[in-house]
Amino acid sequence: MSKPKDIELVRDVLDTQVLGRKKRPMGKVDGVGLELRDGAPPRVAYFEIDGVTAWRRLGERYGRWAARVARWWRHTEPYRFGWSQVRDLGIDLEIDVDAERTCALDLERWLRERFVARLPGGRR
Amino acid sequence: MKKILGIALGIVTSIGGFLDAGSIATSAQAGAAFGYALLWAVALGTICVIFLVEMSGRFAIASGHTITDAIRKRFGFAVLIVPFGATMLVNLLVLASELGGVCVALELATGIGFQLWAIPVAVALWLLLWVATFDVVEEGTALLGLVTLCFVVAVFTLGAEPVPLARALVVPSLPADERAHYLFLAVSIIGATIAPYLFLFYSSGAIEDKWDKSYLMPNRMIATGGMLFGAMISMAVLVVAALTLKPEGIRVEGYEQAALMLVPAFGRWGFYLFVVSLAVACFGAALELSLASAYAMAQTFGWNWGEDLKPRQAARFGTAYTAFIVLAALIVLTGLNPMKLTLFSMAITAVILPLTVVPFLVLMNDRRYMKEHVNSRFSNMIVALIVLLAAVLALVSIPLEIVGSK
Amino acid sequence: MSRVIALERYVGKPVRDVDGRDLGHLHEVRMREQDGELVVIDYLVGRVGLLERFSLTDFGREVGVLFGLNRPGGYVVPWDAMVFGDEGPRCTRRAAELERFSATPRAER
Repeated sequence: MSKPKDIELVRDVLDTQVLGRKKRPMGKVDGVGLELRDGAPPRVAYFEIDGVTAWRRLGERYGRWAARVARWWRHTEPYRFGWSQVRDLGIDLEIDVDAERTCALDLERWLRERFVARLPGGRR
Repeated sequence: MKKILGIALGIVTSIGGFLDAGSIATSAQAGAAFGYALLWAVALGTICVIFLVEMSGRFAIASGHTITDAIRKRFGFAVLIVPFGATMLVNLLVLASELGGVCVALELATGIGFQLWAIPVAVALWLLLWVATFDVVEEGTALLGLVTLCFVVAVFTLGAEPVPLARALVVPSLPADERAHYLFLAVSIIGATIAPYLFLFYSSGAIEDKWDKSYLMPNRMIATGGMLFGAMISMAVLVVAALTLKPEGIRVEGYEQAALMLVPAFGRWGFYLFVVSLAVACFGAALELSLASAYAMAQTFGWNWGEDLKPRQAARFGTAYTAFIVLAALIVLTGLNPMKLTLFSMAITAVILPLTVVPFLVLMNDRRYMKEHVNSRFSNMIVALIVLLAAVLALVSIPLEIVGSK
Repeated sequence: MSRVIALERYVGKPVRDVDGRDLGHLHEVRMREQDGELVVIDYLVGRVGLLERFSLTDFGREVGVLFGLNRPGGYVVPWDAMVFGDEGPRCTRRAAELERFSATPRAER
């Protein structure tokens, strides 16, 4: 378990796989919220997991299209977590969060209810 | 001891799983039209795929990442989306080709039109992935795939002369006429041999099986042995077609003509051997391709993924391969000539190959991922050269083929 | 007074210095943990290379680095010398005042 003190955001954190408790995959670090402050260095306000955020990096209209599509599974907010919740940063980024309770898995839950459960063998 | 068994199993499943619609279609057409002349293309593709598969395994061992996951981490979402999108599109076309192959095999066996088989075969494919554990499925179909060794047996039965064979393997040549079609076939053969889904899938498997440093040598042996012996079956298809179809002037326009190639060696049984080989090879490839595409999506967006996950545990992953199979079945239903579809999707594979291989080569030389296991300059050069050559040839020959076939 | 920006939208964007001179693309943010928080130390901005001028996509740029067309190297912009506006990131100092470095983006340094 190692949480380094010096990191390079793009190389170490952005686009890295995020795992919740029990190594449950939650998504990738799609975005980073940086708080710009007067007279103090900017700080990381949050890390963000959201497909919409990833698509928006390609351009504004991709972001808007992705947001519209995400509304099909009632996903309207990105999932955010802070540096304090990070347990380990290496190949993957591990955070101390129960993945199932977060909106990061909105699509997973929606598909599970609407689609998988309705097919034979989907309830196992 | 366990490792040796593992290596043997790995090689055997690679051999049984090597043949698919792409290699059968391209090799059959090549042998029937140009005799041994295109064997060099199979050889070139095989050399390249041995390197790529070994690198893929070594990458997983050294870095702990799958290739797709690492491309996103190293280059970012905006860069990954290019090879990802291209691979998804091509995978869909190839999956439709594999499905088409199974359906045509069933048509040859029963007389019922291939389009009518599209939905039952797709459902069977889907059901197997949905309810079965993948290890059983993968190993089962690969072992069944060993029936394709019948082509190798046929080469001996037909008494092929080894010297002209060996020469064609090593010396590329250009025929006097039909050059555009020859080049198109060469490119399709290379695309059929070096399918991106193959080495991307391999790295996923290595991660799932938790390969560590002790697997470096087994990886090298499985990659080399599996691909080498598998390619021999591909070459056997070409040689048999050259020996049985070409002298009769039979051109392979569809799988129906190709089905005749084992008859001289095995009599009536030859036809059924071909049909069974086609069906089993394509079905196995379809399974692998469906999973590989779902893996690619899951690793691009960070979803839960894994061979043995129940659909309830990985709904996005399960939905992904379901959607793929549905779309591929729709393509088969349109009635597009399955062999034409196969040949074109193989050629297009050659065009997009650099999009995945170039980032992969960068990763193979990045010490942060590979530690001390970075590529040698030789490996880099061989792979880069072959892939670039294939892409350039493809860009030239595909338009010519389209124009020529009108 | 503080505001939060979506940093991922500025990564890879071109950065100019106070005179309007092209410094390259923003490709790294170096941070350190201070009192349990991650704060920015400086930004690494890549020098403009041949391919940049033809404004190829991210993919093209990475390929360029592979073939040596984009020689790596660039500027270190301290945290207090960068502002983030609607047009993109901007350096508030002159290129000549900035420290130089040499490395490829996202790779081993």
